Amino acid sequence: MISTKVKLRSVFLGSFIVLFGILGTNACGSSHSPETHVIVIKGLKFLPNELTVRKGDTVKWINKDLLDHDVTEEVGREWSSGVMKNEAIYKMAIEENTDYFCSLHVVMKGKVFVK
Amino acid sequence: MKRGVLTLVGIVLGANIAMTQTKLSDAEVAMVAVVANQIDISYAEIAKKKARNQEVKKFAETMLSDHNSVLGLAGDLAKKLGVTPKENSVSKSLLEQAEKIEKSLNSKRGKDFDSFYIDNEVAYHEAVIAAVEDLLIPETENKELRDLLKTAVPIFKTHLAHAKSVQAKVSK
Repeated sequence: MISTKVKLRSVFLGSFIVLFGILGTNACGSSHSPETHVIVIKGLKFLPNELTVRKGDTVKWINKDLLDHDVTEEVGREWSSGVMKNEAIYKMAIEENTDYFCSLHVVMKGKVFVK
Repeated sequence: MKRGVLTLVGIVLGANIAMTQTKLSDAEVAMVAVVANQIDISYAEIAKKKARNQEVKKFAETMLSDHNSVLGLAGDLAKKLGVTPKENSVSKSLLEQAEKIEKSLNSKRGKDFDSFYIDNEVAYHEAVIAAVEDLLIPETENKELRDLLKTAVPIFKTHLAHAKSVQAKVSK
């Protein structure tokens, strides 16, 4: 037979674990639902050219120019959308700060920050 | 050389428009716009084959793509408006000057070619931007044609900034 003390201790410990789990989840924000943010490519600019998102959010670039563009990671060219024609869309989940540019028009640049 | 090319192109564009003493018609403005794009396309076609520096080559490919897009827009608009671009002293002067530049481009090789091409691109885009903003847009009566020219200006300005960044690397 389990003593009352042991039962109480088990209930206390269990509650503590559940409570800590809830608080921990809220503190870490891991329950945040990823959002989608839009960057419009227009007039040979990325609009906005600096964007702050949460880790795991998606950024969607839409080419509203009549010219071809692309979205390419600037430092090591680690990722690229490839050529985007008018109305083309490129989406990417953001895990870290990133500097990007259009490799066809190298002076077109943008940044995404993770908060 | 850089200043010489700019001065020459600027003089051709500015002086010819001043010398005509008459306003350019929309059909004549359209022809100047078409010719200005065609000229840069022809320079880019030479550079795509002859450029040694990869950034110069990539720049030339962008010029080919972009100026062909602008030419396409101009052609579509001209059809829509029922305007036939009309040859004029400005468009003729641009073509005469372009012929000289093409001869120089065809005669050069290697680093000399790369430098000459990109220096000319900087000068040419500076002159075209000035001509479009200060002369062609104010002269144009049709709003859609004027809007097309206004759309072209940021394209040419981005090209100029791009050309300058490549020029800085080529001259090292």
